[in-house]
Amino acid sequence: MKNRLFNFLVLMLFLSCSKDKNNQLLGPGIILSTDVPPPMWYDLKDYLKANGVKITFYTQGYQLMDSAGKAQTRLLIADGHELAHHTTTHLHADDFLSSHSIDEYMQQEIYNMDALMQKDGFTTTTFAYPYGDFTNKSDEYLLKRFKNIRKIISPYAYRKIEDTDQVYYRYKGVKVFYACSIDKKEKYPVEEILDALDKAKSSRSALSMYCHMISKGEPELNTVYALDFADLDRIIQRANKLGLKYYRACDLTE
Amino acid sequence: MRSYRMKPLLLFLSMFSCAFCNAQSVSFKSLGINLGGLAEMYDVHTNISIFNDHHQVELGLSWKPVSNKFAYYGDFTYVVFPVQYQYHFMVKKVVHLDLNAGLQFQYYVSATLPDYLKITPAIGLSYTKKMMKDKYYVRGGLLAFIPAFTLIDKYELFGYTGSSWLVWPQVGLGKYLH
Repeated sequence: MKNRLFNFLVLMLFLSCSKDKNNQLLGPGIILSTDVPPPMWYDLKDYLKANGVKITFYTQGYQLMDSAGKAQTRLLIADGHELAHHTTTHLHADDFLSSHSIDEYMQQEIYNMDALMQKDGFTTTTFAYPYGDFTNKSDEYLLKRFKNIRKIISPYAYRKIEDTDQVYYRYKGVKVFYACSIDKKEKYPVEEILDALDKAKSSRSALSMYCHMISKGEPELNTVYALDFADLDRIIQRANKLGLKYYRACDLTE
Repeated sequence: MRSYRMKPLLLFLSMFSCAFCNAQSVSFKSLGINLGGLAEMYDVHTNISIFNDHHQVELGLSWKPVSNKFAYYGDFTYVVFPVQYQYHFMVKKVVHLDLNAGLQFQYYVSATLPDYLKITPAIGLSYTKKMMKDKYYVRGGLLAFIPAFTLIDKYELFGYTGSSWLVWPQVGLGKYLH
């Protein structure tokens, strides 16, 4: 009798797993984002286009962008890249909200930059937290304004990137997702990142990673918040060899 | 809490109660707590001795430390159900070395995305010592997760492999319930 009850419960568990039928599998892919404005990557425009790469540019401080930068941004968007929101002043949301209201945060960090962008014909539909800092209240309000939010995570407890389920996504309909940094400061051997791409292929999911600038040896870009172009190229060549599809943040929520 | 979020809990409680009741017919049962090992965080488990003192099966449920919530990330909450078989090599009357083979059932639940179940096999070696007139035990060892996974969701069931063997310590203590 006990065994029958147990088997019945297990059967019911799996038979009743039906939810929103609009959700769809993403398939093997890569969600590559950067937390700098598009002009910082403009030198790579032709390279990205030639390799079919799509980047999500989480842009902060739009008010500082000059007209040449705006023109470059338009050209990158025309190539299929995404312009996304990364706040006006790149502050820590949790610190700010400890002494200010959520309405002040939304006005100062979101709506003010929205207004400037809209004046130039730009709109954003996705958002990433500076430093990955957030509160439940900021999640709640930002998800009313944006289709999805990107947070950040690092592999923990001796895990490698490929062991970190939190950066692999199998379905569309994502509201909150994570990315792990592949900047030089993380000190990941590029082989570990390539293994993580292999896992995206074998697990039929999209791997989410982010970085900041791309360095080709320029002294001003040779910081820990950059990825060497040679490493980026190896990542992209492996992704293309594996047939991974490039997803932008806006592609995760349709 | 939406009803489907209760499913993993229901499944575990069913497994737990069946195992615990069946254990009354065998030589001993125990209740313990593990840190690490097959669990993502902490693991409360029940042990069932089957056949004789050399064989043991453990069922568990892990939860997040310092919280009554299950682990959470992004759109997903997940619950971990460790299931582990142990073969005991008796070293002394109160000490045994254990060969472990286990499966980690990790059930991911989301309000908006399809739920899925990920099954990961693991093997390990541990050392168990009975204490205080066989009332309690302590255990220490290592468990290695084999990078070969099975994933089940509403769309498909498939297996895939990785390249990384994850090795975790396993520390536990528990009480025998004679």
